[in-house]
Amino acid sequence: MIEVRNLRVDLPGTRGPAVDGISLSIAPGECLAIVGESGAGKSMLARTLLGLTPAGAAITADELSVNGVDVRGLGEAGWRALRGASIALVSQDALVALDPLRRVGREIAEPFEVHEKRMPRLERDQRVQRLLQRVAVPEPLLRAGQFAHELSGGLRQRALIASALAANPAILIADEPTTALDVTVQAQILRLLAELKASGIAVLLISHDLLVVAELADRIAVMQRGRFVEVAPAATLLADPQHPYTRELLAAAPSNRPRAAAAPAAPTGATPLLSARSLMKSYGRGVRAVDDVSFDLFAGGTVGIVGESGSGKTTVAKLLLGIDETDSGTVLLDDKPWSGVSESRRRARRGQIQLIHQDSLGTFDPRYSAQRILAEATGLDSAVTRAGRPARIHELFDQVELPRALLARRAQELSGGQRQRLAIARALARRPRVLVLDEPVSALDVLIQSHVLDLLATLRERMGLAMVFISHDLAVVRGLCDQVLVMKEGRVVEQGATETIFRLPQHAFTRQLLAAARLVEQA
Amino acid sequence: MKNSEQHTSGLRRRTLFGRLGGMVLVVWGAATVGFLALRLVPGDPVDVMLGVHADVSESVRESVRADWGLADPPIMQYLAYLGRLVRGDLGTSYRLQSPVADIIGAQLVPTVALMTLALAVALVLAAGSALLARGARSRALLSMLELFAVSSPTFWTGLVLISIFGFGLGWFPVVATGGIAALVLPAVTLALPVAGIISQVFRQGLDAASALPFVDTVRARGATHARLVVRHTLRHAAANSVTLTGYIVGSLLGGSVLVETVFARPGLGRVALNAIINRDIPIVLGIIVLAAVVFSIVNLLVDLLADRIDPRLTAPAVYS
Repeated sequence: MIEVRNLRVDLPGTRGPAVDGISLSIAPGECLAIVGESGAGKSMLARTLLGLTPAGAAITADELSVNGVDVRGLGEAGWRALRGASIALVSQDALVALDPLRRVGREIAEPFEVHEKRMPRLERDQRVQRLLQRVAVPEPLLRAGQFAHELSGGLRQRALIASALAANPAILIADEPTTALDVTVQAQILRLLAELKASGIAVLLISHDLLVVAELADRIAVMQRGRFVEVAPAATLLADPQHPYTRELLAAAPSNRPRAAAAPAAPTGATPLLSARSLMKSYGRGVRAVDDVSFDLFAGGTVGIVGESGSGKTTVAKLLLGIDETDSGTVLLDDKPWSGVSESRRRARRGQIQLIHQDSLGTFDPRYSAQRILAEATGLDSAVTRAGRPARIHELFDQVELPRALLARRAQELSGGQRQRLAIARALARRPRVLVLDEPVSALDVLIQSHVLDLLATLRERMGLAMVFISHDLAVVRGLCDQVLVMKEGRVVEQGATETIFRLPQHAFTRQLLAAARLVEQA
Repeated sequence: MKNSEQHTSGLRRRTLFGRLGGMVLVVWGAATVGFLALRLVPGDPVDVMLGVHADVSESVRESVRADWGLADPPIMQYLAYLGRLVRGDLGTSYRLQSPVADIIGAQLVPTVALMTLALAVALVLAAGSALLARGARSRALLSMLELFAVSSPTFWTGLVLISIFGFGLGWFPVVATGGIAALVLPAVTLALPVAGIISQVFRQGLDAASALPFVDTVRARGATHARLVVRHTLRHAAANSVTLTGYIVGSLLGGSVLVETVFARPGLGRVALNAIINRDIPIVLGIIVLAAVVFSIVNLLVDLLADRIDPRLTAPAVYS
């Protein structure tokens, strides 16, 4: 289906090729997975196969054919005939990958509207229904009339796949197709892709996560800096990785890295640093976002909150931070009331509890350098004099293991991992005793993820920080937390010591989450 | 799912009520400010209402006092004034000896015709320039033209257009004759700066939309550039431009003052200008209230249109 020999792609204004001497071939009904960090050239390779490289890209290859068509030097009209009809794309987050202003049905119909002659509306609608049925979307008639934002993450992703299949392509490029999804949904989407593969479609799967692709791929290619460093059948590669980079990727997989300090024994008689008692919060009419959440957190301890999106995890974070008021129930910080007091009384203690977001880029002023970002935060610290600020900033940079050379950079000039470190440094500037981390590593590649998690574990140990760690990734939680809350629809369905919950899950939902995670992990 | 649909429509109804309430509030605010201004001007309110140069008999003064209930306490006067407004009675212009509503009504048609045509011309120019200019060079040229159009004062643009197309080429009449041909030059004069602004915002919207992730999906389906724009990015760009256009309609009323003066056309703009010069306060008040009404209706329409364009605006918020 796809034959590529010695492909090289040079982008204008960059040093070195983005894709460098890649050869690959995919047969019908086969899945080749390409794994590597962001910036490795995976997506550029995918774009090249779709003829969607940026203007000015120089492409050379000894052979480059898609579905039997030699695409070297192919014009735009030639590419248009291939796209959608021979080779189709499923990309990351269907919420933005589908046009948010058009109904799902119209989006699904577009490929055959483009490639086939006009058909009556009734026929078009019926075909959309059949496509939705093929990707196992229940109530296709209803769904076709809705917009992407009205569908759940899993249904959206299925709709996106349906639209890719609409004009019967022989090849599917799936670029991080499950990255934005909860672990249970991730498993379902991978199963759907497996069914498509079994029906004879050639799948090129792109991911940063080796364990995700292991489920589906027949062969895995590990890509680093534009090159394949290792290509092997999936089982062989996972069982016996040859290249050091492959081994590093495998080792970084969250499930393989316990970081939890032994559950810090709650010192008898000690008061918890942060205590949540029967937190309740509703929004609008009757939407219970948080329903009876309680836990105690001691210095050096970490409580993990897991659940699918929409389960109320982030609302709990807002209540703990005092950004949102509880309807009932109390939060105690250092045994003193934290919820239900006026903001002016809270302000003096705000530094003690700090937040770190999933996407920290949006939390930095884009015009500020890293230095200035930290200067602003240290300016709130009465223990630091104006003269002492530069030294304190250096100290913070060292604590999060960022090279000082980056002090002059602005946030958007930093990599995802560096940004997250800067966010941690900014939080530390206030000398917090509790960190609330809302999906802090979910946007990062596995390798970077692993480094940031190591940093958090080190800081916790060195400073006696207590952490509330919110994540949909069970493996990450297992590695870092000593107690876990499993949330579903605002309620805590299970709560306890991490190992107990992972070994002996009591609630059906916990078992379902674990099963889904394991399904994805099974190598 | 049924449930959430009901929830959505409930939300939409509520916001529609809220918006109507907001409209009433805006009009009421404008009327109140106008009333206060009338009372806060030092001197006898009768003198203020009759205008500085008014030379009228004591009997007219008495009838003004009776009309406005000036002997009553201020709060009663205010309530009576609001009561008249609600019934559509805008009062009487003592200078022109006729009800304000009649004066405004008589001049409404030419101004509305001018504004409507100007808006149509502006939208066509803006959409055309934003859609047609794809190359770097044509974009640079258009940006320059836009800047020129936006920064030229209306009276100057009007005079230039008159001298070229009126006197020079003789395509259009120079003064108001009543026909549609006489409307073209004034409308274009009014439209040019507006078109410049809308087209800039519209093009930025198109550019922003074409950088969104779904564009890759659409292109990967084999769609042509034309299809991408017409079926997808145009709609995204329209969302912002519609809001801007709503605000601009309000400013067209102000612009019509200049254009009607330059082209010696009848219309509300000139009525307003004369009323201000002569301190014919009842007419000024009437026009303030009318402007508030027009502005809030247009904004209501714009909001409803924006909801149609972007369904996410009325979506119930998602909490996690």
